[in-house]
Order: sequence, then structure tokens, then C-alpha cells
Amino acid sequence: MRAVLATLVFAFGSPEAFAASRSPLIAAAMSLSDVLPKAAAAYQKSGGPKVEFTFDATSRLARQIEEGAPIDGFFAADEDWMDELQKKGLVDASKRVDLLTNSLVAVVPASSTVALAGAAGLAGVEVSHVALAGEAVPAGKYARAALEAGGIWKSVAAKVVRAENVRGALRWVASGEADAGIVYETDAASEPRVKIAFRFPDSSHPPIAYPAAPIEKAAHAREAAAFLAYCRGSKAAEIFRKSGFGLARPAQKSR
Amino acid sequence: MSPETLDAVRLSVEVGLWCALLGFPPALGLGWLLARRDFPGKSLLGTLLLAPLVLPPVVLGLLLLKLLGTRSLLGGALAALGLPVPFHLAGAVAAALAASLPLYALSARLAFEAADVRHDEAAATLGAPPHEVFRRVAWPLAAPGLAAGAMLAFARGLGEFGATIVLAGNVAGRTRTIPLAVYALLDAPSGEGGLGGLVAASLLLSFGALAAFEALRRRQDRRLGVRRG
Repeated sequence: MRAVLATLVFAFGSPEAFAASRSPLIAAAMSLSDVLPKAAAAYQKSGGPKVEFTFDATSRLARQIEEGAPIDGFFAADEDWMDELQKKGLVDASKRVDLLTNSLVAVVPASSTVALAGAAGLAGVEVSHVALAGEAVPAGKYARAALEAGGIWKSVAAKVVRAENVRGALRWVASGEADAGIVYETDAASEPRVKIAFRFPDSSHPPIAYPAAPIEKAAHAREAAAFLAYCRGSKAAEIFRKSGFGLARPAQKSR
Repeated sequence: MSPETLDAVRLSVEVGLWCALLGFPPALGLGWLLARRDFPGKSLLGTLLLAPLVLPPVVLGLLLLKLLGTRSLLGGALAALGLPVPFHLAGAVAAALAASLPLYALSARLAFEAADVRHDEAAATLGAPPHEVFRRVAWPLAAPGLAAGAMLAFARGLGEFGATIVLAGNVAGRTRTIPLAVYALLDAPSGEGGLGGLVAASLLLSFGALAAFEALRRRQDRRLGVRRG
């Protein structure tokens, strides 16, 4: 009996012991869900510790961080949400960096015969559903900005279907339920069942940047910062570039 | 309450009512069949019926999308008939119906099982044909139990989330029921303001439905002369 109890105490222990024993946990934007594990694998191969991830829409992750989730680092898909957390003193502002950039594209199912000649095409009659990420999700905000810049938001709004995050929007197009969708270029490249109809000009929406920072006072903020530094190195840069991301700054010398 | 909140509450109630209404015939049929008849494959049917209760809702949604998506045979036919499923109320109803039917049919089955089968048999020996036995004996005894099942289906349908977001998407005014509206608001930086009304509406509707369920269940017990406690 005592042995069982001892095992239980050992297994679950105190929260501090739990925090010390787990790997650093990074909360990251959904659009990074393919590439970050690759970077983490390379990081581990080069001698770094194991890094774990939780992926969701940036907005929802930010909310979880505000509520005190045990998250050590945050890779966001837009500046607004990172600013919001920084204002509340929740991220280590001194180590915040812009890591990556991305582009916004309109996708259609790979088998689609609809030719979209630019943003105006989305307002056409052959498009009945346009899949976007949620209103407050970065990909959804950028998409709305781009449509507003094109002057067609009003005629597209009624066709908009919202997915839970950018990958959800991609899935709607891939399954053919939506005739078109607006996602990041990297998402489009990751899904063979869709094709890119056109790219939105960079000037049509706020710059798509991926800021990253360790979480203030997190149990593994230091390990998160180390992984973040690795992500700015040239080895990680190659992984990001291969997945179609742009680098927000020239890569630093590899560690 | 804001118009968006009212929309979500209205949609949730609509979905819940459709669940209670459309689920009635299958719940009645399956409940009666499982309680009163022996046939090959009965335990398989009983198990399959409960599957949506234990399947991860997202998986349920995915299966429904394969079945009812506009590119599928059935979904394509429905769309051609003017009843497209994804992104429409029909999708939210289909997801909620699939999730709530097990509870509904289970309530019906228990109601029929609780009513003594000897009443049916007595009616039959007195010369009542099977449909009369059902109409005048089995049904009146089981009706409050079925009504309780309807309340349960309504309550489950109100709050369906996982299968709904996969099958029907989160379309404001069309498929954005209370849980999906809460999910969308959790996203927004200043979203907490709108949450109050939605949370209050869910508490009210869910507890109201459960209270009605409890009252109907007691009534069923009384009708059958069951004493508890």
C-alpha cells in the first residue's frame, strides 16, 4: 500500500515537480502546425531538449495564455494579439521577435473549373461559399482586410462561411464544400486537394508577420527562449523557407 | 441582448426543437423494437444506436460530412432537392440529431421496457389486433417516457458543438448556435461582453429542459405505479 502511495506521489507529485519534469510547451498559430514540429525535431537532433506544441488559432491561444495556461512560449500569426498580451505584461517583451512572414492566397478545389480573375471573381455567381477563418482569427482578419481593400467585402460577406481556424477553412475547400477560400500560401502548398487561384497583393492587407516571445514568468521561459533563438538560426531558416514561409529578418549565424 | 446573441439563441432552440421532432419516429420505432421484439442482430442494433454517444463528436461530424456533403451521393441528392446540408441549418440539425438520437431512443426503449409487457399480452388475448395493442396499451403507458426523451434530445441538440462545426461550419445567422457563438466570441479581444447573455440563455434552456425531463420521468413512474426511494 505504502509503495503504491509512494508511486502515486512520485508520479503526480507537486505542481512544481510537474513543471520541472515536463518539456517546454509552445503555443503556436495553426498555420505553423506542419513546420514547427520539423524545426523542433532538428533542434532536438542538434542537442536541444524536446519541445512540445499546442496548435490553434492565435486568438484562442492568446485567450488561454491570459487565463494562465502552462504555456512557455507563444508563436502568434499576427502582431495585434501579441501586442495585447504584451500590454498585459504576459510576454517577455525583451525577447519578442518577428520570425516569419507569409502571403495570403485564394484557393479553389483542385478539380474546380471556376477561373477567378482576382478578388472580384469571389463576388461572381459561380462562387456560392467562401471559406475563411474566424472573425478574430488572424487569417480571417487579413482576409477581410484584403476583400475590403478590393472593394468587394460587401458582396462576398453573405457567402462567407467561418471555420474554427485557417486549416478548417482549407479543409472546407479541399473537401469541395466551399468553392473558394482564403488561406496562407503555406497552407495552400500543404494541401494537394486545392490549387491557388490568385495571390492577394501584399499591400491589400496588413503585413502578415509571425511574432514570437517567451511567456513572462513561465516555468520553462528560458527553454522557450532558447528554442526561439534556434528558430532564428540558419538551419531553422532553411526548414521554414522550404515550407514556403518568408523570413522576417535575415537569418543569424547558426548555433 | 444583441441581435447576434438573439440569433444564436433562436437557432439553438430551433435545432433543439427539430431534434425532438425529427427524432420522434426513429426513437419510437427503435425503442419499441429493442424493448419488445427479439430478432437477429438486436444487440448489434442496440450497440450501433449508442455509437454517436461515445464517438468523438468531431469524428461524428466527419462521418456525417462524408455522408451528407454536397459531393456525396446522399448529400448531392439533398442539395439537388434544395436542401443543402453543409453551411445550412439542415447541417446543424443533422449533426445535433445524430448526437441526440441515442438518448432519445434509449429513453423510448426504457419507457417501453418499464411498461409491463403482460398488459400488451392481455390486450392481445382479449382480441385486440397488434396495432390496437400498440395504440391503446403500449403507447399510452410509454408516452411520458418518450416525452422525457424528447426533452433530453432537445437539451442535447441545443448544445451540440463538435459535429456541428465540422459538418455545418460557423455561419452567423444560419448555423451559429449558442455553443458556436460562444466559441467565436472567445476569439474576440473584447468578446467577453457578449458572453453573458449566451451563458445565461444556455443555463436557462438546459436546466429548463432537464427539469421538464425530470417531471415527465416522475409522471411515467406514477403512471406505471413504480415507487422509488
